[in-house]
Amino acid sequence: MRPTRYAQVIIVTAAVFLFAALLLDDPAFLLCAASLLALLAIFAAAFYIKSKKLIGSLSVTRNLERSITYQGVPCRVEITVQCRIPSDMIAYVSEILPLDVEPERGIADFSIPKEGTTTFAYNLIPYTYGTLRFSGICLDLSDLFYRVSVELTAPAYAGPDLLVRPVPYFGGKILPMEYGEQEIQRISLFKGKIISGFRGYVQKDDIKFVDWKLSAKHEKLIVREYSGAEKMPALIIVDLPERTGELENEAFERLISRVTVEVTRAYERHGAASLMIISGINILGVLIYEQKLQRCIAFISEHAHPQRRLEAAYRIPTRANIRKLELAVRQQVHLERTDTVRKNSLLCIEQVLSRVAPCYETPVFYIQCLRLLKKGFFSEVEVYSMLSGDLSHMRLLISAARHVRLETRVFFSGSYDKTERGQLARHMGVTSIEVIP
Amino acid sequence: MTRIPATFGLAVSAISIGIGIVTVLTTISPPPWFILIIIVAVFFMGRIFTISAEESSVIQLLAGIPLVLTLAATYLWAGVIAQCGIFGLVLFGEETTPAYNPYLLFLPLVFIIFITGLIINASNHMLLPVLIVAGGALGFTGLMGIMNYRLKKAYR
Repeated sequence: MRPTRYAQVIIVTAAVFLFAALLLDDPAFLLCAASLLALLAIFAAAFYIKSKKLIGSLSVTRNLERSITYQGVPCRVEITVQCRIPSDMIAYVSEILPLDVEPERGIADFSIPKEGTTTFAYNLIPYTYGTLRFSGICLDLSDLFYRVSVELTAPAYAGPDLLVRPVPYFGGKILPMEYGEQEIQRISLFKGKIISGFRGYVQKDDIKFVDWKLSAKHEKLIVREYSGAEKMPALIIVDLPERTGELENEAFERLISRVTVEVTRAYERHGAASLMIISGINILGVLIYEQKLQRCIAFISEHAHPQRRLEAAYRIPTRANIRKLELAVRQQVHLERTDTVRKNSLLCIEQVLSRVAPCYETPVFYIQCLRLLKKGFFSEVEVYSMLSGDLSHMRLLISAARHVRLETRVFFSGSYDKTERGQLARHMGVTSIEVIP
Repeated sequence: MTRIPATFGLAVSAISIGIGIVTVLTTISPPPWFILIIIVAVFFMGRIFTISAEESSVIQLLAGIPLVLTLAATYLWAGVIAQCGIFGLVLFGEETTPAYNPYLLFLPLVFIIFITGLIINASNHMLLPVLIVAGGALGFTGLMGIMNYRLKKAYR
């Protein structure tokens, strides 16, 4: 119970009168001081009784828009408060929310009207995943002379639970970084990337983990806790075989079923799974053998133009390989004498390759992999492949994972023996290749 | 007690202030009449010219202090009666405790003020009464602190 400014004025006046009574030995001052203090005492007792009655009559009902939500996705909360408020009291209710939850527009406190029943709603944005429990409400009561803040966290005022699921890397739209987020992005990989919670600052905490916005709001230093890399799910990569190669149906089935199991397991364990599928064939490489070239050229121009989508050329690791491909196409042009349509199409491909080659300085696929893995959402990289055909992209992928210090495990489904697997492992830059049974 | 209207309390309070003033005027050395008029005028101006209904009671309390001081300095019991009258005017006003029976606040107050008057009257010096009042205030603060703590704990 704290005095309001009116009560503070009376307390100061009484204290001055007490001092004056002692100094001047005057009973008049003492009488005034004692009267004022008695008045405050009577009002304090009355305030206590009124507060007790009000809290006793209070009931809280909370309704959630949904019981499961995702990190960063607002959830509407509707809260109904019912109580009997004396006419000379003012009551405010505010939600007691965990530090890692932010009400939208920062509002989660409401005044209760004199009628005593009110329903209000607000949007809640959870920042970390896990079970979010509404621990109760904070009731602020005040009258003319006193105010009190009571935290009601008994089971009658708490609940229900809101399950917050993590947002998988490929799940949501990546928003442009704002000023505050840039700070978060600078956190080292070993500390993790996703905020798992907040806590008070203790000695020897790194000052760069202090969340200044929350600290200002709660008037104490609050530091962010990041989930370490070991808590994060693995990035599961499926390398689908080239359609040009010979496909072993049984091995392919094993590969797919294993990937399904791993994705399900990751989802059960972490609530999210990150799956990347490397698909498609090296279009540029097979175009020269295509009979209906016009259709292919139209498709490439529309959907996979090399100048617009360089990633379509990821299977071509270096510029030299493009040059080699360009020469092959040129040879085909010279050999083609009868079919003018095909010859024109090959000329078109040659022109495209000659335009792509100068700007193809760095393997684009490598940069894309590096950019993805640097985000730090993954504990390790698991690659599932049949290891058929061109494996240059696998080398780039493993190299990128090594660059960001992520362990890469390659799982293989096929008919290679131990020696061949060893050679492939050395070629790709991994220690071993695990066989999918 | 609830059947007694608040206007009765207001009337008694006003009369008690008048009694206090008349008592002082009958003493051997009363204060000058114009001083009494000024302090009474100050008190009633505090009652009339208030900024808001909420602040009205506080201003009345503070405006009544010069009156009580003047009367108590001349004759202690006149000050005691006037103080009870001022509290009565404040408590029986509609702004202060509209949700509470004012008699439940007023009667304990009158009791405490009379007890204080008795203690002061029985003392030769002000040291002991000051210590009693200060100790009582601190003790009550501690008691309220404990009760509030128990109230908060009951709902956690």
